[in-house]
Amino acid sequence: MIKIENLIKTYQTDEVETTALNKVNIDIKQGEFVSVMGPSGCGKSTLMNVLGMIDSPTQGNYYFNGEEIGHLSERKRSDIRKHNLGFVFQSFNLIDELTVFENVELPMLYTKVPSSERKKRVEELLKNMNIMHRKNHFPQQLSGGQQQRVAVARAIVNNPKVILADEPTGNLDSANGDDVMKILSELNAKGTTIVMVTHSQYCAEFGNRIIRMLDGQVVTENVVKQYL
Amino acid sequence: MFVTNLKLAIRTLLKNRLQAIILIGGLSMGMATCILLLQYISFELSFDQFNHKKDQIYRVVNERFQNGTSVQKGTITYPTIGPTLKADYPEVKQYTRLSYNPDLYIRYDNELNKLNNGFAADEHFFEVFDYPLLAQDALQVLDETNEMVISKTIADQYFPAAKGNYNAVLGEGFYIDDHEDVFKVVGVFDDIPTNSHLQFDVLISYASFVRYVGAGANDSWTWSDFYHYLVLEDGTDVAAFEDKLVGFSEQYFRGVEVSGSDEVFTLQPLLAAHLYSQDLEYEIGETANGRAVWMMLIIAFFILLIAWINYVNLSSVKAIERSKEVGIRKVVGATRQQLMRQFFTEAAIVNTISLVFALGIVQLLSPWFAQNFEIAVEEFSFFQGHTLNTYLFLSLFALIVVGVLISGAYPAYLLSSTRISSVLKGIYAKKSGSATLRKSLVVFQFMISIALITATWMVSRQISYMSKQDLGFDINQVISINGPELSNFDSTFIDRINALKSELTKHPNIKAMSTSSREPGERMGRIFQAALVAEKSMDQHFTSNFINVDHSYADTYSLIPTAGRFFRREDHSNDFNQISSIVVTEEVARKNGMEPEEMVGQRLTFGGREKQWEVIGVVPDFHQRSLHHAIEPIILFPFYEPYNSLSVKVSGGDIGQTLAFIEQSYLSVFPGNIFIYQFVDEQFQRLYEADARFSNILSFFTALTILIACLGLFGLTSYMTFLRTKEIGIRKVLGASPWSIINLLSKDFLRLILVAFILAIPLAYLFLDNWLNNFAYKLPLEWWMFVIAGVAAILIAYLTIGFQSFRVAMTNPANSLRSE
Repeated sequence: MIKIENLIKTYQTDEVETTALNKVNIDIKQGEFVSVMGPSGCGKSTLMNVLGMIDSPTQGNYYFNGEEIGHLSERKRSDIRKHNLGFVFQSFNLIDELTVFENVELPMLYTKVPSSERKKRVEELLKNMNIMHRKNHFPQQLSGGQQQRVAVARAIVNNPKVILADEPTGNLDSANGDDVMKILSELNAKGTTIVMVTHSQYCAEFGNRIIRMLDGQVVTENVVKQYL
Repeated sequence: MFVTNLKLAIRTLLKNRLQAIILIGGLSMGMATCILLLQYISFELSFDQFNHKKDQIYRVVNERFQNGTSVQKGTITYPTIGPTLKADYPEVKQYTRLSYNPDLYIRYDNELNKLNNGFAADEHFFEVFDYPLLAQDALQVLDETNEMVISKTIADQYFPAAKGNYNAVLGEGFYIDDHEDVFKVVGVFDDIPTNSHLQFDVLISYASFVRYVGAGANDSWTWSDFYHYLVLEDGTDVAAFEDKLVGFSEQYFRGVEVSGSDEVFTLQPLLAAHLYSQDLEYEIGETANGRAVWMMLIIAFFILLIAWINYVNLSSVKAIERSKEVGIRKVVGATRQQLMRQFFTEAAIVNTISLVFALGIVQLLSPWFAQNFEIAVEEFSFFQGHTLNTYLFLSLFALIVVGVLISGAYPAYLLSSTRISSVLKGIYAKKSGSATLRKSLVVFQFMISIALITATWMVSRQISYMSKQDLGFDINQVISINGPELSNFDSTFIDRINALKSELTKHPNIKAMSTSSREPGERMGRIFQAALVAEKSMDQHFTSNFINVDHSYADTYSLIPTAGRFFRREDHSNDFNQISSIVVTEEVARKNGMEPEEMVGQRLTFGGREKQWEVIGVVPDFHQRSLHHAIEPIILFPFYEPYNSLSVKVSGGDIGQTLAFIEQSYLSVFPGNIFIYQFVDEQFQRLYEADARFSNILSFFTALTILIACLGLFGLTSYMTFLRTKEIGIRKVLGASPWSIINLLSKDFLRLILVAFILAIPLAYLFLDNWLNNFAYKLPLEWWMFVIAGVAAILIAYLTIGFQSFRVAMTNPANSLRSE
C-alpha cells in the first residue's frame, strides 16, 4: 500500500540545514495499523506530512499503491490525497466557522459528491459517532472528545484507504482517548489502513506494529500482533 | 460549494465584527461617493449629446491678434462669417447665427417680464439643433421679421387656457422690449433639457433683430458680436478645413486692414462646448470646468481605492490567522483554485454589502449633495420612467467586478499559497512580502490623504485671499438696479436720471447713485483700435476695455483720481458731438508708457475715426472682473443709456425701508419698467462660486479620504497590536513604561506616514501649481504650508494609532500572558 525507500527530507532555514528524515525505509501493507513513536523532534510529524502528501521528499521514493508519487505536482498529489487519505490531528483542526455537519461534509464538496448523498453519509457517520444531536453546533461549543470524533468523521467521510492520525488522543482525557482509539480500531477492522503517531505506549499497542524513530531514522520495528 | 463559501464568508465577517465594520463602512462611503460623482460626471458628459448631428456641429471660435499678441479669443464673431463660409466652402452644410439678448422684456396683456436668456436666431436654428417643436405654423420658422418661438413653460405660463394644445398658441402676439410691433408666436418648443449648453426660453427671428439694430447685424465685417454654429458635411477633415480658414481670413479681412486685428478662426466641436470653453470669452452657454470634472473622477476613484486597500491590508494581515483554516481545507482536498474562489466570494460579499449600503447612502445624500455642491444628481434613479436604468446597473456591476478583483486578488493569492505542512503543527508562516506590500499600500493611502489635505487647505486659502483682496474700488453696500430699458433715450433722459439721483440722495441712508453700462464683475466691451493722436501712426494702436459711466460713478465706488479729475455734470450731453472727455485707468497710461500725470491732456482716437477724445483724468486700476484675471486697461466714457444699470451706495440703516424708497422713486421717474435689484458685493462674490464649490467638494472628499484611511489604519493597528500582545506583556513585566509601549507600537506606522508625507509634497505641488494658474492673483506656494499639512496628517494618524497603543499599553500584563 505504502512504501518509502531511502527517503530523505531536509529543511533549509536561513543558514542551517536540518535533516528531518534520514534514509527512511518503511513498508506498510493494506489493512495494517501502524503506530509511530519517538521523542519530540525525531521526525514523526515530517514522516506523516510526507506520507500524507502534504510535503514532498527531498530525496528517495514514495510509492502509493505501487505508483511513485513523491515527486508529483501539488495538484496531482492533492487529487490522490482527497480520494485516498483521511487526516486526524491532535488539535482537531476543525474549521471554527463551519458547523459540525458542514465540517464533516467539507471533503465531499471537493470530491463532488451529490448533495443528497452527502447528507446521507454525514448523518450516518454522526449517528455512529454519537454526535448527531450536535450537528448544528460550532466546534467551540463541543468538548474535546466530541471535536475529535467530528474530526474522525471528517477523516473517513470519503471512505479513504488510509487514515493518518497525528497524536489523535494527545489533547483528550483517557475516557475520550479510549473512544477515539476504539473508533480507529473498528475502522482498521473494516479494512482501513491506519498510520498513527503517538507518544502513548498504551495507544500504540492498539496497532499491529510499532515503528520507533530517533533523529530522523527508524530504529526498531516491533510487531505487536499479526494483522488479519 | 458556493453555498459553503458563502456561509463561511458571512460567518467570518460576523466573527470579526470590527474588521467587517471597518471594511464595509469604508467601502460603502467610498462607493457612495463614487456613485454620486459618476452620476454627476455622466451628467456633465451628456451635454448636447441629444443632437443627432452632434458630431458634425462646430462652434466658430474667433481669436484676434494685434501686433502678434492675442487681444481676444471668444465665440463671438462677425455676422458675415456663417453665410460666407457656407457660400464658399462645400464642407459647410448649414450654419445658424445667433445674437444673445441678456435682458429681454416680454409683455403680453400688460403682464411684463424680464427674461435672462433670449436669443435672436435665424431660420436654420432648428435644422442645426434637435430642440423638438411641439407646434409650428410652417415647416420653417423664424424666417420672417417679428416672429418668435417660445418654450412650453412660457406657453403654459401665458396661455394656460390652451391646456397643452400648443397649436392654439400659434398666432398669439407678444411685445418685446420697447418695440412697437407685435411679435407673432410661430412655434412652441419643448423645454430645453438641462444638459444643453444653450439655455433659452424665447427665440426671436434674426430678421427682426436685423430690422431693429440695422443691416450691420447681417453684413458687417467689423461688428463682432454674433455666434455661429456650423454643420459640417459628414466625413469632413476638420483640421484640413481649419487650415483653409487661414485663407478665408486673409481673403476677407486682409490682415488688420478690415477689422483692425488679425482674425484667426478655429472650430470647437459642439460636444466640447460645455466642458472645454474655459479660455473662451463671451460665452453664452452653460459651461463647466472639464479639468475639474475629470479631477473629481480621479479623486473619487482614489477614495474607492483607499477603501479597497483597507480590504487588502486587513485581509492580508488576517491571513496569518486564517492560514489554519486554509491548511485544513487543503488537507481535506481543496485545490488552489477552489480556495481562491472562496476568497473572491468573500471579497464579492463585502463589496456587494457595501454597495447596498452605498446605494442607501446615495439615496439619502443625493438631495444634500445636490444642494450643497450645486451639482446635478437628480438623474440618479434605478428607473427612468418605466425602463430600467441600464447604464446605472452596468456601472454598478462594473464597480463590483473591479472591486472584487482589486480587493480579492491579493488576499486570495496570499492565502491560497499558504504552505499546509506547517498547519499540522500549528505554526503559521509570516510572509515578509505581504508586509512590504501592506506598508506600501499604507504609504499610498496616506500620500493621497496628505496631498489632499494640502490641496484643500491651499484652495480655501486662495479663495479667502481673493475675497479679501482690495479690488481698487469699493463695492460694499452698493445696490445695483436694472436700467430703465423700457424708457426711451430722449432729451429728458439725462434730466430724469439726475432727478432720480437728487431724490434718492435726499434719503439719509443713501450716499450716492450713478449709472454704468457694466456692473462690477461683468465683462466689459472692448475697443480694438485705440490710439494716441500724438503717435500719429495707426500701427501703435492698443486694445482697451471700456465702460460708460456717469459723473457720480467715482463717488459711488470710491474712486479717487490719481491725476486730473473725474467727470462732472457738464461732461455729459444729449448730443454725442458735444462729448469728448474720457477718464482712463493707470493701466492705460502704463500701456502707453506714461505716468498718470502725463496721460492727462492726451488725445485719443478710436476705431480709426476722426473724432478725438481728451483724457481729463486717470483713476487707479480696479478689478472690474474677478481675480482670475489680471488688471486690464479701462477707458470710462461719460455716456448715459437706458440700459445702463443704476448703482446706489447705501449706508447701514433699515435696508428694507431704503429699498422700498428706491423702488418707489425709480418707478415714479421711470414708470413702465420693472424694478430688479441685487447687491453688488454678493454679485461679485458669485464670480468665485465655482471655485468655492470646488473647494467645498474637495474638503468633503478630503475628510472622507482621511476617515477611510484612518479606519484602515485603526483596523491594522488593532490587529498588529493584538498579535504583539504577548511581547507587550513580557516587555511590561520587564519594566517597560506605558509611554515606551505606545512609542514601540506607533513608530513603525509613523515612519510610513512620514514617507507618505515626503511623497505627497510633489503630488500636491503639481496639483496646486496647475490649479493656481487659473488665477492672475495667487498666493505663493511656501514650503511651510506643506509642513503644516503634513504635521496635521501625522497628528491625525498618531491619534488613530495612539488610541489602540494606549489601550494595550495600559493593560495589565498578567492578562496578556495568561491568554498565551
